[in-house]
Amino acid sequence: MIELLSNPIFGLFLTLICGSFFWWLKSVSKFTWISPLLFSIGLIIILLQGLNIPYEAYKQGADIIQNFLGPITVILAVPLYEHRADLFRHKTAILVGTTVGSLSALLVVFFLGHLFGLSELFIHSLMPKSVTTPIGISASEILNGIIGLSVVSIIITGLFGAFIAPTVFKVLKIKNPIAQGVALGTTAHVIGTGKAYEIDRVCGAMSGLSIGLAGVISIFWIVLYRIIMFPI
Amino acid sequence: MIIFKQLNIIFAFYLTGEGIALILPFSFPGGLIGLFFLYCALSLKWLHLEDVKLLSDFFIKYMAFFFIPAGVSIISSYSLIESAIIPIIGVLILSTIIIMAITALTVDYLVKRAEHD
Repeated sequence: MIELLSNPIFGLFLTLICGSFFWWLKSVSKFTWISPLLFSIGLIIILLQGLNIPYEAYKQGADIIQNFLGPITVILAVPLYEHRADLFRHKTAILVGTTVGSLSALLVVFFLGHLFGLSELFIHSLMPKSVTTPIGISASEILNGIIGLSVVSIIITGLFGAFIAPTVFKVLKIKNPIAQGVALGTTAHVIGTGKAYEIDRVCGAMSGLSIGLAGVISIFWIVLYRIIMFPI
Repeated sequence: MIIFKQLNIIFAFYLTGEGIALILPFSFPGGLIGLFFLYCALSLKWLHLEDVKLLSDFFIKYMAFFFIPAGVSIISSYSLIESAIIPIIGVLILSTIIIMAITALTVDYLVKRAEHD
């Protein structure tokens, strides 16, 4: 049995089956809040644990999918290029916003983490939490964080950020769609961008641009942080 | 064939990025270097949008699918995380509100200032 489960196609198949089920469910049901990603992760964990399937067996096939994250990062250049007109029109607001946002993301997690008594390993795993997943995984690798924890915190941040955004904007009286979009994309990456498109088109485009830019800028901050904290 | 062609282009940019990342004196994601080159190639019209459009639309639409394995990998370190789960959730929720507020206020201020000028 273990030989069959260790076949790389098994992990690939299990991920595809669970993924297609939840993406299908989201597309046919009214539950737009469903995160197919979070549900797929949950179901696969339950199946592996419930059926006593070793994680290493699943990993054989899962790694094939994970190896696509690098090429996906490259692909993020395409939406940036497609929306370059919007980018250049509001370049100062977007560049300063994503730079300040991504720096504050790292600092806030760093200080809150210490305040809450988290160990350095956890703080480093949570620091990429606002960065879009393919880039966030690289960030977690640079900091030697727990990649699984980084990914789950990225998803939780995205879901919670999209949920809380209307309240934050209301309390702070932020009505400008550019400010809302940059804040959503910088904080809540792809999931926030979904919310931004519900607000309006400019807000959505701004959010989409901010994902890639905030990701790129975050990596610079994280490389800098690593050089300062752990000089070789 | 068009899918093969577009995959070849993306993989070539990615591997070039990884190759350059290898010779950098600090660790830096090769994918981001590839992103930069692809953006330049599109801007300089060495490549046209149609050369990568089909594949990029697909990957962007279903991007989250490719994160499933990374998320599942949390089970291999769950026993480590278990004890700290409450402070972790606390940091995630609080920091998300603070970061969103800082970013929104910064951009709002910049846009207002630009409109006054």
